[in-house]
Amino acid sequence: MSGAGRTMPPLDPRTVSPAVLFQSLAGRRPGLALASLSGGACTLTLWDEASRTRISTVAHPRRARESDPAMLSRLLPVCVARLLVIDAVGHEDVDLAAVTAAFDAAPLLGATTDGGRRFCFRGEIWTSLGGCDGQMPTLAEASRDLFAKIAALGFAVPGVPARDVEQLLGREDAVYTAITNRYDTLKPQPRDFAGQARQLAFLDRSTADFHGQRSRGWEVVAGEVPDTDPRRASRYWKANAHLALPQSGISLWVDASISIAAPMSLARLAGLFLAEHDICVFSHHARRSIAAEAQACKALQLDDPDVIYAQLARYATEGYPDEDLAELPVILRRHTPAIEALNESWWSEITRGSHRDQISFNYVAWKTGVQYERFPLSLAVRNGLFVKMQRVRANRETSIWQ
Amino acid sequence: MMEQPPSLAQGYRLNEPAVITDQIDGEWVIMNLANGAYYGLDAVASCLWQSLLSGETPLVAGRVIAAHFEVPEERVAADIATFLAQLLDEGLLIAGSALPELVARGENRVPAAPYATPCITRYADMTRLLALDPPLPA
Repeated sequence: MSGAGRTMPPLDPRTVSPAVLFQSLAGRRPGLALASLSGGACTLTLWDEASRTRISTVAHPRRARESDPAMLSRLLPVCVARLLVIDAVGHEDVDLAAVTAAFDAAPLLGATTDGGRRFCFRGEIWTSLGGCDGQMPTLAEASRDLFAKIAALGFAVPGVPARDVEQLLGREDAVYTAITNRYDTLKPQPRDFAGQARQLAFLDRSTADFHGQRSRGWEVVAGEVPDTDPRRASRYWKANAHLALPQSGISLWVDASISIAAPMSLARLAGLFLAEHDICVFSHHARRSIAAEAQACKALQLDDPDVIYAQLARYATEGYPDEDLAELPVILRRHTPAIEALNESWWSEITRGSHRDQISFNYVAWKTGVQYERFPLSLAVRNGLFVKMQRVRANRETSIWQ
Repeated sequence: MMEQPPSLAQGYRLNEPAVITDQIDGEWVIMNLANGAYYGLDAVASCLWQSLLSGETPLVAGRVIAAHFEVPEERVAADIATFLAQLLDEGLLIAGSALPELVARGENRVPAAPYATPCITRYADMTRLLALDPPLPA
């Protein structure tokens, strides 16, 4: 690739998730997509009243007996329109104007059905959840499964009303992340997610220099964490939300590898998931105890096993039950004295023991008596809220042409 | 590659809905939903991309760029022909006028740096986007 004339290295476009790209394109998306299932084939029609464009295409099953859910999950992991109607009865009698009007009138309406043969989904929710589960045997079952996932995000589905909650945010509340040693690159996040809140990136000088003026929507705070080794520096900001954001009442930490896909604002996210507790995280997608996490850290050589197992022995001596494990690329917190105490205790464990923060979080929560809420599903699947992206180190360039 | 060089005198438009694109914080990002490929553009290519999406013919866009960078029109035209062939090969653009409602938004920032051959980079490893539990730095 020719570097002449470039003052900054390129950022990798793959760090823009399809959900974010779709959201940024919202005004130009077709109004409605109709997937009509008939005779094993799927006719997909897109149309947009504003531009008077209408496009149709027919897709056929890839293999014999490909189920409707499997074909839909293959064809439509993202919905290119604002609404998606899946129809298994022939689309001639679909009152598209009525469908559109119903969704326009109810912003928290996530999905509808008219008796189990026709299903309508809000496009951004379909996209954030990655569509229906192709493993489900029938369209009805796939839709019921998807309804449950949509309801967990607080949207209305047949039989379940919307949860109309919103946490009032202050101007110092924030979404924040941190990167040190150019370990990752900033990801663009949905433009309207933070709302009035701030979107802050704590970067060391090296990472800040790489990004230059291209902050991708983040407000950059550049500087080094004093007296902290590089492995712990980004975790300083992650653990110490009350020190990173002393004026905040609510904060959302996201690892730099996380792309926000939530079809909602931070205010609504906080309203939904901080209703019962002051902190919300994901359950680990695969492991259920600190002991299992320690084993994984040892196998992957992520830290000194002696340090980790000494730490676990100490926890056992104190009577820690070790029956849960959080996965911590995303942390939604209300800044209360109890959470501040948890933060400080957690950071203390990270500095005196393993730098792997998942080794100590559950112990610290138990020790400080803090109960936590869990986001639905896990980070290993399309959970509708956050996507764990490929980590892209700065300065890597590839081109097939030059 | 295409057998005939693409015409620089006609208009081209985004191959919607299979291809989506937007300018995010100054960077153009292109994604082909049909095959999951992502594309990044360098500074001159970004400038060209914006011009083509807004309905300019490659010929006109080339003249503007040649004048701005003070390089021969012939050189820019040759570069644009190659670049355009790549866009068409990848199915990102198709011949035709841009629909007014679908004209891309975004600010066309003509790069201040010296002229460089426009370059598009293709990333085909879409499936790697969902990496599960990658280890943090040791």
